[in-house]
Amino acid sequence: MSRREKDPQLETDLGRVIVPMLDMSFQLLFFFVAIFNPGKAEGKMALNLPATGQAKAKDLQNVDPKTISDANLEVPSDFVVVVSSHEDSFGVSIKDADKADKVGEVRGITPQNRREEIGKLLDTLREKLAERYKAKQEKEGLKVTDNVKIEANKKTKHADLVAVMDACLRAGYTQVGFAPPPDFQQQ
Amino acid sequence: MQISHAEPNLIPLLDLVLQLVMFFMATTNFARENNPEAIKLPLAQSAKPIEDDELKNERLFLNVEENGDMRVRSIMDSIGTQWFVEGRINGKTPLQKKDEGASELLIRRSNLDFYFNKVHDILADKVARDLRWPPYKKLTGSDKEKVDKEVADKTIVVLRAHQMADYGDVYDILTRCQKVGFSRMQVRATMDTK
Repeated sequence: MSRREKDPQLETDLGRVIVPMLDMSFQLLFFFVAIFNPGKAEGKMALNLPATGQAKAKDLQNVDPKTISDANLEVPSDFVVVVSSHEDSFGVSIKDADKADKVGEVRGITPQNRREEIGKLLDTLREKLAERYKAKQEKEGLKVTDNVKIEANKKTKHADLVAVMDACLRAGYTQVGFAPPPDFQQQ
Repeated sequence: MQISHAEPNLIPLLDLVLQLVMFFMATTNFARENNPEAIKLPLAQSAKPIEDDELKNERLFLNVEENGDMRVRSIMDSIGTQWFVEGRINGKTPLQKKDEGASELLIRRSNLDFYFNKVHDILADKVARDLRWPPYKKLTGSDKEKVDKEVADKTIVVLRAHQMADYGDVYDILTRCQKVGFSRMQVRATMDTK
């Protein structure tokens, strides 16, 4: 028998192997198709929060005046983005040491157009923040600090807050933190 | 009469099926225990992909639901006791002792404090054991501070809050977590690629 001729015995054996293997492969395929979830990927956004309070000095001579005390854990920021969010309205302003600059406010929001209306306002916010960042960069050069804090009322939805945070990050700021809600009291 | 023995060639079919199996195996993510589907994350264009390096750190997931309750993962302490097996911090069931007449809000807050303190102590015990030191509760002074710092440096707090959760609840949880000594925090969002 030449090499090229088929051996019927061998062909039969191969056929016997392939059918159960194909069976098993289909089982596996069904399993993976059933658990496959092609949802959108989850990503991370860094949140700027201060480190834990420094240890207190053991005696008076060891007190370091530059060390932040436990009671003063607020992160210093260039300015605060103030968000006022309610069921049917959403407003944003930028507050710094000197003055408050109102970015805008949308009223009469419905659940259907909420994302779109807020999106437009946040585009304006992003442009204003980018301008501020650019102006500061020109003034301070490489030493520019880029801390922003977001202050929102306690009923603000997390999605709206993250959208504001997103606008800050996209404007070039890398350290975005949360300020306590003005109407919030921790017990 | 000649009998035909023609059979379909199954080998290309097997090839194709195995290719598909490989694809689904490679793209399937089994690590879902920390990512409850009930929590619908907000969208963000600036969200970055999660790096593999982060997996080396301890990660404390704060899965905040729409109503302010929190889903948590059970954690085992150094003597083998499994804590928080029910997997939820809510305003209904006191974790420690029965609070007669306490409001749901107060119960939730005391549960949160108990949870964060317990998790911190368990992680601190692990660090102390790695350093071959006595248990965390027995440490004092600079040793205790060193362990606290190590826990804060090695633990990433991952905030996964539902998009309709109130900022007041989220802020309350974050600050309670921070007061215990955790400081590395990140917010999770669904990557918006538009």
